[in-house]
Amino acid sequence: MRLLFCCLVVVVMSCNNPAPKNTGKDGRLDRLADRSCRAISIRQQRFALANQIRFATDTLATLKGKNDTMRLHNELQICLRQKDSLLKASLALADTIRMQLDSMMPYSDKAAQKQFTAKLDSTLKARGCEVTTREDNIRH
Amino acid sequence: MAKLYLRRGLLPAIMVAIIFSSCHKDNTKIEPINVSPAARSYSSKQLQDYFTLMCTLTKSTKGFYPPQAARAYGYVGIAAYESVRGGIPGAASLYGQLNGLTPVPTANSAVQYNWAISSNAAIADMMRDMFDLNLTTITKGKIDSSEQANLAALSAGVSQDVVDRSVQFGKSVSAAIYEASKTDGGHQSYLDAFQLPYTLPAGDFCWVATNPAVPNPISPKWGTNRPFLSANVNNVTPPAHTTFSADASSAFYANAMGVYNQVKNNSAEQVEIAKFWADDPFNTCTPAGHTFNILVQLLKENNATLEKASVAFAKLSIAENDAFISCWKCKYQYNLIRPVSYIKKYIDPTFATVIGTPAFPSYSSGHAYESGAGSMVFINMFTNGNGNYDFTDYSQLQYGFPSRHYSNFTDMALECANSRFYGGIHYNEDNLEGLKMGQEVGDNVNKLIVWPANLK
Repeated sequence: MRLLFCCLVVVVMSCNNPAPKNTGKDGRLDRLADRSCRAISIRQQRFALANQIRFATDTLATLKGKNDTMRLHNELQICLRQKDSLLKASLALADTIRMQLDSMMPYSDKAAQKQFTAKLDSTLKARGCEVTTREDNIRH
Repeated sequence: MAKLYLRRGLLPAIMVAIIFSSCHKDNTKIEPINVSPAARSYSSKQLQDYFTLMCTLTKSTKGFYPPQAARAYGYVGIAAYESVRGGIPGAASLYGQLNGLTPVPTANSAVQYNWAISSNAAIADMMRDMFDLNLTTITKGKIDSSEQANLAALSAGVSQDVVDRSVQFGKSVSAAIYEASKTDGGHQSYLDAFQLPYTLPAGDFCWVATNPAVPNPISPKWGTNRPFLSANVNNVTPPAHTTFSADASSAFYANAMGVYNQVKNNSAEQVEIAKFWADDPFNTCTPAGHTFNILVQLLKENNATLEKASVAFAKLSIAENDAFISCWKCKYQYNLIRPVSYIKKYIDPTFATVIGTPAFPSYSSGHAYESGAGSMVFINMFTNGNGNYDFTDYSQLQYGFPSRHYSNFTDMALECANSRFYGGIHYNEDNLEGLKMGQEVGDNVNKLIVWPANLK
């Protein structure tokens, strides 16, 4: 009887073992962080490319009819193609991140929400992804 | 003694009771007992999911610039409200309260409806109508499959006649509202977002193209569209902007220098704010879509039922639609040159903004207008009036932006407005006046329409 009781305790304890559960959560968080890192990288490329495109179009407008602008024009076309492919990648990734975030975020529990945010931020930071410090939010 | 009671008390009481009961009988004929479960007994998840889908459609559908997007959200929100109104105690129809809205079908309170099913049918139809000709097979498929999946889930355990009646009711509501939408000036405007032909006014103070690839301004006639509330256009009138001048000692030049110096001295945080709120069409779901994404999150945080969510979406829908009409009226009334054009011409030809300048005049700011309007709806729906709310905006995480935290909705709207100054695309005056005007729009929506109270 005592042996049976001990076995039962072991079984129950193993079922309640938090380690595998945490690993699962961490695994999901890791995947979210992976995708968020990619989104941050795409976003940075997107804004950098937009700057390049603005510069190229401005320059082309300024040089109109004055110089040979063929090279710049070609560069602009390459940028525009890159823009399209970045946009596609960004939109596809956005849907995945949003769905994953919705499935993980404890929206109705503020404390848990903050905990989740802090954990995601630290995971992103550990991977070298850009994170803005929330406390630095500008107050006006 | 008994006779005295009969004479002085009982007899009159019996007579009053007879009269009262006969009156009550008559009333029952007019207002039968509502036999449908209340809207507050349903989850708002499907509604939230539809507005998330709206974001996806806005990003991926040709022709949906900020004004067109705000209008599409607007009519979907109204359809959402009207399709469940019969299940909300004290909810008045928007017919008679909103301009141009023709009578919207009313549910028969003697028979049962499932409001979630009605809402599902109304929203799916209105979404198809709003994006209509520019829907692709994929995007139309997304609406259809959401509608079918929701219907299957919501119909479990519901009798077929209730399902059919609810679907039919939702569709009839949507059809009536869509019919009314055709005359507001924005019908199928996604086919012609630049509203050509349009002659650009000429003058040193006037808007000129900031991107040679986009030589025409977006939706120059949008300000003549019919707003849901006349007060949002007739009474919300921004003051004239600072008088244009190229003189280096003028107030206008000082405003432009303000933008120039801000961009030159932006902190890293300010650059981040400018990009966070950029809300570029086709990369994101536009400024209005960002504000709707915030509302979706707020409803999740508050475990809002279908009742509260439907009212919240309707309020924001009216506010956003009207904010863009009111703002666009102002933009094309003044046709003010953008800071980048002025600065390059009179201050520094090498000046570059932090984010791209959208193709429409400067005064006043659309972002400031719409975030001001949205903030008033949030304050009304989620605070005791002081605007205090511990909120972290996660909606931009999907685009690679870390979340941002706010403790007050007014602060959030102000940051959104200021972001355009940090970005170098608006004079500060555009943002400050735009924010005030937007707040007036939102306030009108809260106060000039009869909304149900004690929502859950």
